[in-house]
Amino acid sequence: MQRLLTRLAVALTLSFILAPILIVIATAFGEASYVQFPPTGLTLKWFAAAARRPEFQSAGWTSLWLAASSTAIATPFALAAAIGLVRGRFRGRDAIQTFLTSPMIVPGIVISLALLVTSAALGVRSDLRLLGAHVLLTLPYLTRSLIASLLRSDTLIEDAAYTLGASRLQTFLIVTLPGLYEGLLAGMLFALIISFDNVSISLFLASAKSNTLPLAVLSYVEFNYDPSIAALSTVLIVVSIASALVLERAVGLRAALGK
Amino acid sequence: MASLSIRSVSKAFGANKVLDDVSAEIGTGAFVTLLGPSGCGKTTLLRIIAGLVEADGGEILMDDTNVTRLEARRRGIGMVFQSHALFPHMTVLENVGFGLRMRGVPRQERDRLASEALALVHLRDFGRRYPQQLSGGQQQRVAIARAVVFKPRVLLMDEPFGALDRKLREALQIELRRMTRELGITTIFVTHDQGEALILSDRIALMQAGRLVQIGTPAEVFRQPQTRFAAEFMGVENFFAAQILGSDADGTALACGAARLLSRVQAKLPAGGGIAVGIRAEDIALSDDAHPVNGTSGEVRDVVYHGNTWTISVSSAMGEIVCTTQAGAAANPPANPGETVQLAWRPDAVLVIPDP
Ligand SMILES: Nc1ncnc2c1ncn2[C@@H]1O[C@H](COP(=O)(O)OP(=O)(O)OP(=O)(O)O)[C@@H](O)[C@H]1O
Ligand SMILES: [Mg+2]
Repeated sequence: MQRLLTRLAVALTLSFILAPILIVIATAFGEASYVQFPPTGLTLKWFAAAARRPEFQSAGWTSLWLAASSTAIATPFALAAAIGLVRGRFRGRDAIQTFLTSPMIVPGIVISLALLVTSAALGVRSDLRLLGAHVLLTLPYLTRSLIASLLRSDTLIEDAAYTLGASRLQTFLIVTLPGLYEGLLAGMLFALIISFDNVSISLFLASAKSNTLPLAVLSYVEFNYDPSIAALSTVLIVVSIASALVLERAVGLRAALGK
Repeated sequence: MASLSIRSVSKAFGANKVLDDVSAEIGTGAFVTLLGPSGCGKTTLLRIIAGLVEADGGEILMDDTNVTRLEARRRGIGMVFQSHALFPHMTVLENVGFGLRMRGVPRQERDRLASEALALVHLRDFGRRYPQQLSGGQQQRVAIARAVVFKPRVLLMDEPFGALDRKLREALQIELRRMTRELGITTIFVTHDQGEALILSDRIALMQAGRLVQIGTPAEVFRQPQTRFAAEFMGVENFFAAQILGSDADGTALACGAARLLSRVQAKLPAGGGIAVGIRAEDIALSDDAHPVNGTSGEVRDVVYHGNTWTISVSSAMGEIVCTTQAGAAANPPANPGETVQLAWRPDAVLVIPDP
């Protein structure tokens, strides 16, 4: 009886989370020219329609480029920061750590506004300011993940390497870095997803030229309500699940979340 | 292949004084064991010698060159860590070859030397495995191979045989002794085990709460412990406060309460001085002689069987005395609680401890 109740609770919770997503996926295959549930008919034409739309194409590339380059730029900084924060002994270490992870806590809208005002005052180019903002956005996720794996790694193996004749750089590259591979992979995947998914910062800082995919979707649904949006969402969901699976496969989600 | 001088080294972690003015001279090729209770600073001293921790004061010299400020990697010291510290993502062979790789030895030569070192620790066929695929004792042996393969000038070993069973331990002790002698590697070997220290060492250094309390040959430390702590650590169970009555070339006459003791040790101390006397339990025997040269009588409190031996606690005029006797084949205890027994010991069993 008790077990039955537990299972029921689990099933209800899961369906509460999953149902809306499943409904979106289902509507992507409907024949009707508006989002309809339950869908009638079965077609792939909305996927083709979404793929043909130039605003989705360019926004899609922008988002991918933005996610990839912000992650690529943030990673070495996050690595340096994590090493300093975990291995270093200096005053204000905790404060800096809190500060570095603050973009995860401070409301996105506040950061966005602050960056908009600052970049306007400094006269930063709009594509650069968006990139800068995304670097800022992804940095804490990477840092946190790397801090977690550095805390797990054994400092004695570094000492062993020194006694065996390795320099600090050699030790870092040959001994420490391979142990950070999991945290690095997890952090980078998270960073990619966070950047790709972000609305609030892009909303403030993107220009017409540098529209991101979530923004394109937003402005599209203001005037249209056809299933091509559902088709696009389906693709994004599949990509997200795929990357979660890759992550799980490679390192285990627990490690990825820095537990 | 270098002599090592440790000069007035001290170290504190915050308010915790871990090493206090530690000095020792270790000759080229000597094998010194560092013996002391947990937390007395053994690992810290090794880390300072290796260059992994900076001392607050004092100097380390290798072959009369001051290396106090030299980076760890330039000291040419091999170190076996208490927790092995193997590189988890490298194979056993790569682990062992690491020191050679850092010295620019080409791949093939490196693998050959690493395999040889592995054979030395009885792990010839384990080169392809990863450290996680080995038992604790096997990991320890890989760590030993890794530390000796590049023929270090000085070898530091932090309880390297802790996780091994007795047979393997004894085999490796002999192997290690042979190897360090052959290569002439100056070695400092940390252990908790006085038996191991006695077997392996040229000299034993006894450490207590961050200080070197005594350093000497195994026989010196075993027969002439200078402090009560040293005596206890070398397995002396019975201690008595005593007064020196007189000392000559034959030995020392002592008063221990009403009892009179004769020691073979020549106390280099003035008559009338208060010292301590230590006697090992295995040096005390049950005696039929009612008036032995050294001895006392008392009532048996407790008798415990240990297989090879019996331990008998006796309450005597000199205080509580523990003695052990060989059990032999007889299953009967040599004495029973409540019985009055006569105890006796030879004059050379009486250790004079100047610093009680
Ligand atoms: N990095 C450190 N920071 C603070 N205290 C330390 C540090 N390393 C060691 N200590 C302290 O120094 C003292 C000596 O430690 P050490 O590791 O040298 O002892 P040990 O003799 O090797 O003990 P064991 O036999 O248990 O290995 C201990 O009280 C320990 O808590
Ligand atoms: Mg230790």
